[in-house]
This record gives sequence, C-alpha cells and structure tokens, in this order.
Amino acid sequence: MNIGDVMDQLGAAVDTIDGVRVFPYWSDRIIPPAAVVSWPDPLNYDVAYQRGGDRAAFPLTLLVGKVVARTARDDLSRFLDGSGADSIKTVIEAHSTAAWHSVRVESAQVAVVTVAGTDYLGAEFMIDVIGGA
Amino acid sequence: MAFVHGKGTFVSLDANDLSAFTNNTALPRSADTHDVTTYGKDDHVYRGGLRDGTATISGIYDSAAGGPGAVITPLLGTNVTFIFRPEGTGPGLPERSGDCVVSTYEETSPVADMVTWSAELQLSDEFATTAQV
Repeated sequence: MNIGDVMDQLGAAVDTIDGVRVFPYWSDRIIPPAAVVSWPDPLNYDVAYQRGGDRAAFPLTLLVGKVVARTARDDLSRFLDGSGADSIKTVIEAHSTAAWHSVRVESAQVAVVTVAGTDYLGAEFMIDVIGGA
Repeated sequence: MAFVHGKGTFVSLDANDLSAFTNNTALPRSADTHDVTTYGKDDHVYRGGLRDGTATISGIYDSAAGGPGAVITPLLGTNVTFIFRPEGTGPGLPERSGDCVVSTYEETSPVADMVTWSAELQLSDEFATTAQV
C-alpha cells in the first residue's frame, strides 16, 4: 500500500465536492473550505501472514470559516453529514481506486484548528484504510 | 536459540496458499492417557496412547477467487492436506503437514470492522514435522 497514493486518492474523492480546495499533503496556506490529508497514524504492517496487507488510520482535516460564524456551523454540518453529495463519508467510501482494498470513514471530531496563526472551525475525520503490502 | 515472529508464517489447505488472508493459527495436539495403576502403588501410573489434534486458522475475509470463502467452503467435510510452516518458507525450516477434515468454516461480519473468517480442521492420521528442502 503506497501511502502517497492513498493520500492522493483520498484527496481525489473529496475533490468531487463542489467548492472544497483539496490538499493531499499538509499545507500551511489554506483558503476555506479546505480539506487537508495528513500522514497516517498509526500505520500498522502485517494484518496477515506473508505481507498480506497493511492497515492505517489517515486523518483528514476539513476546515471551514471562522469559528463563531453561523455560516461556518452550517457549512461544516453538510460535510459532517453521513450521506449526501457533500458528505465526506459518502464521497470517500464511494471512491473506487486500486490504492486500497477497503476504506471507511470511522469518526469525525469537531475542533478549532489553527493554520498559520488563524483559527478555523473544522473537523478531523479518521479514515481506516486497509491495502495490500 | 532465536525467537520467531509469526508474520512470516505460511499456511495452505488443499494446495491453496491462504497465508495472505490469515493472521492466526492454533495447532493444539493431544494424546490419550491410559491408567495402568496396579496394586502397591501410591500414585497413578499412566501410559500414552493414540494422538489427536485440531488446527484453527483465521484471518481477514477476501472476496477474491482464491480467498478463504471461495477456497474453504467447497472443502467442508472433505479430507485435504494442511501445511503449516510456523517459521515461513525456506530450506531447513520446519513444515508440519498432514491430512485433515475441514470440520467448520465461519464468517463473522461486525458493523464496525473487517469481515473475518475462521476454519477448524480435524487432523487425521499422522501429522508430521519435516524440514523443508
């Protein structure tokens, strides 16, 4: 499982959502709404014998506008939704790629994320990925 | 003396390599014991008898044609050869092999994790340990 390919494909999946700027790598310059794919943590090798596969948890951070704006709340809610065209979970789990065998958006945690000294309302999605060795 | 990690283990059933789908193998062996205690003894005396054993293999389900479901389901109730190489494949490394009856095959599908499988094999006749060539 090539980590860079997985990060690119996670970005490609989210890129199907209108208006979201996607960064399949950590960036310190963003314009919201923006999705940033981070390095996996953890990356576990050997889910099966003979290098049958690896498993990793990828954080994907979705940043919307300023923390206290009502519009930021409404914006984030559509990405947190469990279904729909703007749902992070839906677009990632529907994405077809050879970069992984299985993908699941397990959870999301709303948080204030600071990028280059600016606070943004956002959510960190944890994505469980299993792929070949 | 050297400790051995399990990640290189090889398992095959009816000449089908299932290693890439397997992450655990248990191979308990046993022997009958016969009480031959006679008068004058203060403690029981035993002699060994017939040996027996089972093997349990389990791992992560794969939908491929060579995956555990496709391979093992048709073997239920039949006698096939089971090969177990706890130290992996290589000249001089131990191989435990013999005939077995595939007695159970189970798939488990939790909502929040990967589909898993397990199979129980009843060893039949001699289950030998030899050195690989």
